[in-house]
Amino acid sequence: MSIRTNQNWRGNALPRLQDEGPDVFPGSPLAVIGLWVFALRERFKHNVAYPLPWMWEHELRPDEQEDSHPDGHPRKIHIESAYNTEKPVRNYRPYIVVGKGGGSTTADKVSVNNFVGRNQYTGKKAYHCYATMPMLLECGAESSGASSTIGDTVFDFVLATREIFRTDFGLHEITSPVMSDTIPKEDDKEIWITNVQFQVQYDKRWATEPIAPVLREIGLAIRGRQNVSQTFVDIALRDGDD
Amino acid sequence: MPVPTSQTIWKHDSPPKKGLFRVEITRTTALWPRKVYVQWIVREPKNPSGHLFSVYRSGSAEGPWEELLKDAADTYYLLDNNFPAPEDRTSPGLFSLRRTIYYKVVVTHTEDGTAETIKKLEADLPRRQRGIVRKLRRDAAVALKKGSGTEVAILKRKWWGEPCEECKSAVGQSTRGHCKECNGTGIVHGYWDPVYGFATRSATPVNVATENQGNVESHQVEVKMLDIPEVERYDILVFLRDNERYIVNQVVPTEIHTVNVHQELAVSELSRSSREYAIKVDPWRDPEWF
Repeated sequence: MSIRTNQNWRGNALPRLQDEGPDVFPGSPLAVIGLWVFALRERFKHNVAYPLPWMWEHELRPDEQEDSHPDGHPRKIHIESAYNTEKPVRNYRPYIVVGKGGGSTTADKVSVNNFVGRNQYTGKKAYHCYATMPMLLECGAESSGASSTIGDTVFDFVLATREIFRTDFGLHEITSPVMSDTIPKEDDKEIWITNVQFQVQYDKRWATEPIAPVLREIGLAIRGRQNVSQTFVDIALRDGDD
Repeated sequence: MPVPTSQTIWKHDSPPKKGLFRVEITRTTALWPRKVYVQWIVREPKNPSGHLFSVYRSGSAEGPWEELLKDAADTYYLLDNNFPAPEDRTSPGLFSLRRTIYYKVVVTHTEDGTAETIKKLEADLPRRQRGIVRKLRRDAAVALKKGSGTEVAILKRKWWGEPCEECKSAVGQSTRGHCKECNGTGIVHGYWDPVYGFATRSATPVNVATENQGNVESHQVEVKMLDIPEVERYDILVFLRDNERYIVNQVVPTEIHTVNVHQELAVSELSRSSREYAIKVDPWRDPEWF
C-alpha cells in the first residue's frame, strides 16, 4: 500500500494523510473517507500484471483509442468522495464514490460513562469510546454487467484488505463488506448502481479539565512575574516556562 | 445489383410513377407473437411470370438486411415465422409492445429489370386513407425541412444480432459499458445503421442535482420528428449541426387510422462521457427527400 501518511503524528492513534487539509483531523469521517478514496485509486491504477477493463488516472478525458480492453486502452474510472460538488466532472461513468451511507455515525460506549481515568492534582478526566461509521462505496456504470463487475472488484478489495487497513491505519475494526443488488436509476440515462457497504470503528479519546484549577495556576504564575503582560502572552502561546 | 426505387422508406409513399416497373408491399400483418404475414405485388410488368423475389428483414430502414427468401419464382407472399426470441438474443422476438421491423422486397426479371421497396410492420389502409396519411406526412416533412427542423441521424438500438465476443457475459449482459465492439449493448455494434431525417427540439433548462456522485446534470427535451423511422426507448437521436445526442425515453405517435403520421418524443440529452458519442454518423449528410 503506497498511501502516504504522516507517520510522526502522535496526537491520535490514527495517522494523518499526507497533504490532508488542516481542518480535517485524523479519525474524522472525512479523513476515513479519504483513506478509501486513495486506496481505491491505487487498486484501479493501471497495472500490467493485473490489468482491468477500467483504469484510474488523474485526468479523466477518454483516450482516443479507448477500447475498454484490459490489455489495450481501458476505460478511465472516476473515483471520488461523495457529494464532492467542487469537481468539474459531470455524469461521468463508470465511477466509484466513497461516502458515509446506510446509517449514522455513532459513539459506542465501552465503559461506564466513557470514563477511563482521572488526574487527582489537576482534576483532568480522560474518556474513551469507539466511533462507528458506516461506509458506502457506490459503483455506477452504464450497463448492469459493468456495475456488477466493478462492485465485485470493490467488494473483494475491501474484504481482502480489511486486516491490512485495520493495522496500518490504527482502526479498531472494519466489518466484512455487504454488497447490494445491482439496480437502475435515472440520470441523463439509465445508470446501474451496485453498493458495497461496511462499517469502520475507530478510537475516540478526549479529556475535560476543571476551570478552577487552571485559573489557580494562572494566578500563581502571574504573582511571581514582573512583566504581567508577557506572562499572558506566554500562557496564550504555550511557549513560556510555565 | 438492383437499382432501388427509393433511398429511404418514405419515398415508398410517393405516388407510383406510371409505366415504371416496380414492386409494392401491400400488406404487413403481425400475428402476435409468432409470425408476420408479408404480401407484395409487381406493377407495370411487361411479362406475366418469371419474376424472382428476394425478401429481407431489418430493424432499420437503412439495414443491414437479413435474408429471408432468395430468388423465389413467382411468389407473392411470405409468412415470416422466424421470431424464436432465444435467450441469447441472436434472433428477434415479437414480445415488445413497440417492435419495429422493416421488410425489403427485391424483384428481378431478365427482361423487366429489377426493383425494390421497403415497408415497416404496420397496419394497412384503403387507398383514400393512404392518400390522407401521405399528405399529412408530407406536410410534416415540409414543415420540418423548410421550417423548424434540423438534420438528425437516428440510431436504432439493436435488440437482436450477433453476440459481442469481447464483453458479453454468459447470461447476456455486457460487462463493459464502453465496449468498442457493442457499445455496451451486448450485440455487435449495438445500433443499426443510422437513418437521416429532420426533427425539431424544444428549449428547456438544464437541471443540476446534487447526488452522491456530485453535481449531476439532466436535460429533458421534447422532439417532433417524422414517423420514419419509428423510434423506441433507448434509440439515439443525433442532431447533426451541434452533434448533441439524445436518448429516447418516451414516444407518443400521432396516428390516423392506426398508421403513424409523426412522432413526439421525450428525450434526454446524453452526458458527454456516454459511450453513444463514440458511434460514428455522417455529420454532413443531407437527408433524402420525397
